Amino acid sequence: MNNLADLEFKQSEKTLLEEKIRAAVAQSGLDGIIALDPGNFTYLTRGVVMPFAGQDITLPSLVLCGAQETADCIVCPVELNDLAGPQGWTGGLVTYSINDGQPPAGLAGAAAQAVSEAKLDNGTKLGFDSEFIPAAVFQALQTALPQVEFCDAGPLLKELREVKTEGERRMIEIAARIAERALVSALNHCEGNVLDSLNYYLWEFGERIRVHVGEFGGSMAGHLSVMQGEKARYPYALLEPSERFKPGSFVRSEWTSHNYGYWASSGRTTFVGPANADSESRYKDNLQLKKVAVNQLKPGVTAAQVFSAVEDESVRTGIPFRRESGAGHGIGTSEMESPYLDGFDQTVLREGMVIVIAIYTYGDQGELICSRDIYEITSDGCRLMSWYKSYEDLYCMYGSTARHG
Amino acid sequence: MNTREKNRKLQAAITHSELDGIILTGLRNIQYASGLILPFASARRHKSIALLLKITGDSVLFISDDWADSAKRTARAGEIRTYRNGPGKTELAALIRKAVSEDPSLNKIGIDLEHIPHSLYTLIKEQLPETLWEGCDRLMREVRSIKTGDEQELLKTLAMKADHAINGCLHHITVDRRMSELTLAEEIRVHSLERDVDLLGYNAASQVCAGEETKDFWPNTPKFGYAKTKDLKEKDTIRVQHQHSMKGYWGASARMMVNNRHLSETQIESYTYLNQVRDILLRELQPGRTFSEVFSKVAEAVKSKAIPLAEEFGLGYGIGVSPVEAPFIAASENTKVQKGMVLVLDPVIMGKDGIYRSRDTVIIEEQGAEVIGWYKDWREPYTPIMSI
Repeated sequence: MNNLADLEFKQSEKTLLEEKIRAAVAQSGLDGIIALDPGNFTYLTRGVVMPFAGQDITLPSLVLCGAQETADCIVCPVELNDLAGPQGWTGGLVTYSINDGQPPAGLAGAAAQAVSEAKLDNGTKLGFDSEFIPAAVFQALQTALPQVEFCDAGPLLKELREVKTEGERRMIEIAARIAERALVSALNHCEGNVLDSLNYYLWEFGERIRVHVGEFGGSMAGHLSVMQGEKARYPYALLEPSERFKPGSFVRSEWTSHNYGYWASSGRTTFVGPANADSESRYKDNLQLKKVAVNQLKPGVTAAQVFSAVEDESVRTGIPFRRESGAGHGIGTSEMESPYLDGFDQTVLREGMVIVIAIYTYGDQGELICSRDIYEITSDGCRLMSWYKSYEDLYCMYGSTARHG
Repeated sequence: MNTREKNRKLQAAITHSELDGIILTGLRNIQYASGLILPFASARRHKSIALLLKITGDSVLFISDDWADSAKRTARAGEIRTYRNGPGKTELAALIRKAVSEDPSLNKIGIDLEHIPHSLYTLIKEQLPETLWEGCDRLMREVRSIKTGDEQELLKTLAMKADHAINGCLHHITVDRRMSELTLAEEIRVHSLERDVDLLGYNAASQVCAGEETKDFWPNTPKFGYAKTKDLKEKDTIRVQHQHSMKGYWGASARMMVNNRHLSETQIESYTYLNQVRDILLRELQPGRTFSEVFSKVAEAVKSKAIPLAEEFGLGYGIGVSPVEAPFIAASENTKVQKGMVLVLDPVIMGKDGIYRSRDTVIIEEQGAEVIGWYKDWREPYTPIMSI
């Protein structure tokens, strides 16, 4: 527990991650890896987070992570030039301005400067993640860096990122704790009058989750949604502005949040007012399938086998589940990443992986029920990381007077 | 929102470019062309989405089966085809190949190269070797940059709501009562949600910094969506910023406040610079000029007045389905200023006591730029009640 007190990614933890990355890059024969997407960027910079990365509020940034640390460089728009240092970045920094050129030309020009400053000459081999790099950016980089041979480093990055270092796991566990505390706080705030005729807006409940992520030290709230009734039948639906809690409904809250770049992906289903036996039973159905998935979480099992086990249990018990959503996924510097607990993914689970179990079953009105939890794969099984509060019983929201405050 | 006008514009642009259709993979482009709203999709790009829009106006949305029923709530594509998620982008590429192969009129197709993942583009080219591919990023930039009447109305509403949220929240500040930067930032967002904007995470957020922190561009790194717990102090210069979204479109505002009845000489000087640059920008944003010309004229005027403007950040940008989009008011932007554009003027003044910022949403009319987002007149900063 004590090791969760310090929320930041410690320098000693960053160093261990850096050694792991550097060794893998060198072993691959690459001179470095270039990455733009937020997940790979934060990973390869060992914890540098750009503002609302991936949300198009600034021009793009990229990182060049070298096999040798002398090649390390971040390329970013000039308005972000004072962000990397305070986040522990000691490598180079090259900036570009919107006045220098529109994306992707401005970015590629600055990347060429970074490569030149790193003295990466003819014959240099740089990796990139072809799943995430936009075609135009790749073409611009090829044009700007004719001396560089580009190789797809997607499989290498996948392999590297799947197994977390001890420090990374600590960061995710903190993120999970913050996320769970945020929900508990939102529940505490709204329950006073959830059944009062004045009631409580769903947006305010959702916003209180976001607010409490920050108040408990979280770095950012990502996805945020609260759904009940007809809307809860969907994985995602926008709220109506004045939607209120409706007694007798399942409410599914889903949110993601990160702690210094390491994400938690959270989702809990609660019930407004006292639940009847059928609602309780529907909730237990979800836990039953979830338990099967959790029991499969151990080294040597494939991601597809976890999914298959859930499918088999669904057939055996007659509890339907939403197959399209899979049974869970990895988490780290992206809010959803490999491995994917789904039929297609033959990735073998290994010690040190961190997995979100997310299984969607159905309420009596077709509402999707889900209770997400995060697990670390250990040498002989798994360990719950989102332990702050148990949701083994359906959480029923009570409170009958707005004067509660 | 009435989408017919947007669709007509897109079809005209496709025709003009002598393309048979376009394939869009950028989420903002897809959102523009189809209305699809899936806020989390930007963070889960292993499940790519694509939209085929034909010259006839027919469209096909390609999407993971996990997201299809959510997509149907907002997307107006003629047809939705789903794929089961799998390794790489092979399933999506196969769907696109099938759809293109089914229609013999699709020989030359535009594609948004600034967004499509390299791996998906490679697969599509391999699977459709006879098809001619051409980048359509410029086409999309141009179509998106001129807003339809409905878009203008929505963006005006959003700009006003953002400014209203800030004003409504600043109203609660009393100089001699405790309030932290964090609380203020949270309350700005709450005031915005009270005005019926959509509950979203990510960059739908507020920032507040006061006193010494206003000297930093990003004072709460990496907690960009939250502010520090530090209390506001009397006489502080305070910078507040807010972004929110409704129906898939964005609104923004950034304002300055001085936590005192009177401004200091330094505060007056910095704020006067901000006013001057805004006035120059409004004067120079004339239809027919290129944005680079506007930028040069503003930079020249600012230099003659020795205003400490951080021109390297650019002076503003477009806003629409993306919180920041083309055209940029910058030296690199050769697009012409045109009627119907909606822009956020975002000059940054490096004042002696901190960074002063004003985000004003304007619409370009025939006569020039018209401010559309002021809840109050921002030629003076907000000053609060001293005591109650």
